[in-house]
Amino acid sequence: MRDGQKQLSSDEKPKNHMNRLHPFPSPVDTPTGTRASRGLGIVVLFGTVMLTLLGLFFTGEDVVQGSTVRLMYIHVPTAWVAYLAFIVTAITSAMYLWGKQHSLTFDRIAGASAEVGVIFMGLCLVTGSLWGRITWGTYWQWDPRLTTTAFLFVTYVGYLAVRDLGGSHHQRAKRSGVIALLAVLEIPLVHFSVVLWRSLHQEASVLQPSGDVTMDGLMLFSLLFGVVVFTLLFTWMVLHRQRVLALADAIDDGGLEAALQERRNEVN
Amino acid sequence: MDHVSFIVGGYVITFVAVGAYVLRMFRQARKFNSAIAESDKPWR
Repeated sequence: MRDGQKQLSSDEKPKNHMNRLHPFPSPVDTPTGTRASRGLGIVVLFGTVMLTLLGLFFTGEDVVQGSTVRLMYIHVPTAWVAYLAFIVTAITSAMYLWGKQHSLTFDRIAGASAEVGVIFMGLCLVTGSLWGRITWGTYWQWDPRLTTTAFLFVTYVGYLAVRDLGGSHHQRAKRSGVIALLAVLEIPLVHFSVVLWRSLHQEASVLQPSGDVTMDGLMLFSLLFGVVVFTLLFTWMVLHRQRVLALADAIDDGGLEAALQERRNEVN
Repeated sequence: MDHVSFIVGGYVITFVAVGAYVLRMFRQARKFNSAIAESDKPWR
C-alpha cells in the first residue's frame, strides 16, 4: 500500500467519514461533492420539478398530437443530452490522445460522459417507444431514425464494454479513445436519417433549415427549458461520475503497488 | 389528458432511471472513499 493510502489518524479522517457510521447518510454529503456541485444539483432538482409541472400541467395539448406532445418535453432533451455526451466523449478522447501530457482526467471524463450518454440514449428510445405506441400503434418499427438510434446505443454499450477489458489505465484510454472518435461519426447519420431516407419519425421541429419555428410560445419555452435542465443534469452527473472513476483508478493503482511490493518482499 | 399512463410513465421511467444511476454512483463513491487518502481527491 502506498504512502497516500496509509491508515489515517483520527485527526486526518475525511470530513464525511460519518457516512460510514450513519446507516442513512445525507444524499447531498458525498465524497465527490463540492459546494459548487451541490449548488448545481439544487438548481437541477428545482429545474426538474419545474419541467415536470410545465410538461404535465401548464402546457396545452397539441392540435395534431393531443396530449402525446407532453412526452416531447423529455424525449427531445434525452436525445440532445445523448448526442452531447457522445460528442464530449469524442472531444475529451481526442484531448487525451493528442494532448502532450496524456492526462487520464480526459479519459475519465470521456468514460463518464459515455456512460451518462448511454443512460439518456436508452431513455430516449423508451420515451420514443411510448410515443410511438400511442401515435403509430406500435412500440417499435425498423424505421431509419429508430434503427440508427438503436445502433448508436449499442455502439456506446460496446464502447463501455471495451473500457472494462482490463490492462493499464493508459491502454484503456488509448483503445477506447480510438473507438470514441469513430463512434461519434454515427451522430450525423442518426440526426439526418429523417432527411436521407423516408421515415415515420417527424423531421426537426425547431432546428429546421428554413429557420421557421412553428411551435406555440409556452410549448417552445418548455422544450428549450427541458434541454437546458437536462444539459445541467448531464454536467452534474459527469462531474460526479468522473470523480468516482478517479477514486476507482486510485484504488487500482494502490492495489497494483501493493502486489508489486509483496512480490519484492517475496524475492528478498 | 389522454394516454395518462404512457405519458406519466415516460416521466416516471426517466426520473427513476436517472435517480437509480445517481444512487448507485454515490454508493460506489462512498465505498471507494474509505480506501483513498484525501491527497487523491484534488477536488476537495
